[in-house]
Amino acid sequence: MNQKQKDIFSDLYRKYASYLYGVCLRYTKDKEDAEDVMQEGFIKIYNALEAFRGDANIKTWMQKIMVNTAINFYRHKKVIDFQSIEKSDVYWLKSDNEDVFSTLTAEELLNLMHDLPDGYRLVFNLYAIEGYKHREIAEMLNINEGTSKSQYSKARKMLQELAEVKLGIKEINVAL
Amino acid sequence: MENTFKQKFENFEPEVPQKLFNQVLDAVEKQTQSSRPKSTNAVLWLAVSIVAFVAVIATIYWPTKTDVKHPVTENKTSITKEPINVPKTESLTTEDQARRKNEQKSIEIPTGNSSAKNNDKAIDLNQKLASSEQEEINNSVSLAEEISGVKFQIIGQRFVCDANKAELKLSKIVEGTWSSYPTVDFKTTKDNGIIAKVKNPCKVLFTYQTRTAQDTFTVFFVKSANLTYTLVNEDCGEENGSITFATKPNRQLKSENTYILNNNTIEHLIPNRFNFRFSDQYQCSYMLDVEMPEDNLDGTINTQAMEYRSGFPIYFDLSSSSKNFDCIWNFGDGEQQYGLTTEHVYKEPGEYKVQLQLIKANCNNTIEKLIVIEEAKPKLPNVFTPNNDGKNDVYQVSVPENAKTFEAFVMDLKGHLIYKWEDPKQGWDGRGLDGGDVPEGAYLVVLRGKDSTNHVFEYKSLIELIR
Repeated sequence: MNQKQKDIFSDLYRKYASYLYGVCLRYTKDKEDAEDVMQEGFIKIYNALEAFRGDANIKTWMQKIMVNTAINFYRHKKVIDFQSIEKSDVYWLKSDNEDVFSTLTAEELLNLMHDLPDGYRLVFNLYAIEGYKHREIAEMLNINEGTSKSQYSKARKMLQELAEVKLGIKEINVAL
Repeated sequence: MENTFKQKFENFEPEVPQKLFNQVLDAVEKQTQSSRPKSTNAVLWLAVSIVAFVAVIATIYWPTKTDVKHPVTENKTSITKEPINVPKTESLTTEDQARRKNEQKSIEIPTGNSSAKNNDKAIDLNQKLASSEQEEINNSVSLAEEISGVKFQIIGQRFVCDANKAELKLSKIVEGTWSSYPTVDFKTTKDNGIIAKVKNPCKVLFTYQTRTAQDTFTVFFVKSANLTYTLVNEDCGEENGSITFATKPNRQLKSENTYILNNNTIEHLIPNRFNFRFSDQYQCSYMLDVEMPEDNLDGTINTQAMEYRSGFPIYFDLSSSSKNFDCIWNFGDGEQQYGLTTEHVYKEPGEYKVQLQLIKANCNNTIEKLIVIEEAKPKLPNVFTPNNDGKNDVYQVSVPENAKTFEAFVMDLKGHLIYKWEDPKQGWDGRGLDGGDVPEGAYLVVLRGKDSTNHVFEYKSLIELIR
């Protein structure tokens, strides 16, 4: 790395690290994983810097690299479980209550997302936040479009359930 | 809705751990070095620049850093003091002493107890209890001491689940003093026993000491675990379902009824309703009522609507024997919805094949229903009797609920404008714009407007006015 490269790289890091770390946190289950993905992603960003087209938005470009890194991270760990985690009463008793989400801050939502199974979180991120279509997600993750849809809907329901539990509507543990 | 999620994170810039920058830089450096021979100068320069950069970063981030909370250390106090009340006597074995030393190290008690965060801490502690004390459970059974003919024994319940009180008694009343480690509140009862109270899950060692002997008794105050389960009915069929139980914090479950647990899983279940009873190693018991449903992924689609016309909401639901699956509705016009019941507004008239995909684990099935949507057409009566008899005195039309714009004209057959109105709720009472009754005869009514999808409608109808 020469001085110029280093300057550019450091500059990019200083400017976008915070935002990109937020992206990493969304895709991972905890801070350690987020840091791993971040490191991996920045290596990729460094390697691809020369190939970067000046006309594209660098923030978006970096975010895309981070997202792909996160997907690969879980794929390599072979922990993506797209099987349903059935909890028979969760998915159909409740109507979708959007109010639960509207009051949440990003931190609170993030906190709930960390409790999602990896597969749910991945699809939820890609669909609800990154704005990919289910067809595109299916291609990216090599799954069925239907799986992507159902994972997304389950993720929503589970988040809602988690939100209610964590907002104190329900108690998880019997108080001592 | 999805936009809201997106917006939430648009400006989400959490604080990055400071060490991360160096890690990243190191990693990049390492990688470039492996492809290029390094020069010592460069390394030296690098070291200097890293230090300089860290300094810069540190000054940038330092002021905000001061009020950052450290979630790991917050709210916890470690007990490092010597136990105050544990009497030091010869009768303590070295093993006992070693154990107490461990206790001092491992027991941490959260200081707060109201918020969810603290609740988590309690679970942490609980987990700690579960993992670190497990081996000790069996050998912490207390032994009666017999010295100088004084024989007594402490009797009580060793595991206290979800309660904060423990009662200990002496098998024989002998004068002596109670103490505990860690120190907890306790009250001596009439018969020289104690009732001890704690606030948090913990392990407490109670000691009763007489002039010549002492006996100890360990009580575990534990929280019941949070029991969850996963249901799998893999065949999409009728038997061989399995239920896997999980607890948080991790507990070893023993089934109290006849089911055999293997790795917390009960296998070969047929669709049925089951009542499971468990206990864990702390003798906390759990009950769970679980239904292993038949995966009957079938049913019929029901529809309901005021009008099967474009612009009107059509309500969909499903009749089926089981509802234990996910539903994806395809309305045949490219739109999609999830859920057992849903509604949809068709923008254009036509024939649509509504498909409902029922999904459960590896199984899925699609059922269909054909639905015909007609053009959004208002109802135009063709006879009108404005004679103040209370019947049909006002000429009204029904328009699509979602009409965005609306106007209605009445013209005589020569094309003169007789009356007009723009509020769909209003109508024509048989008077002209000048307020006088118009003569009997035939008139032309014209309605025009746009529905919410900007679909333009225009209808004309000849009506007969009879007084």
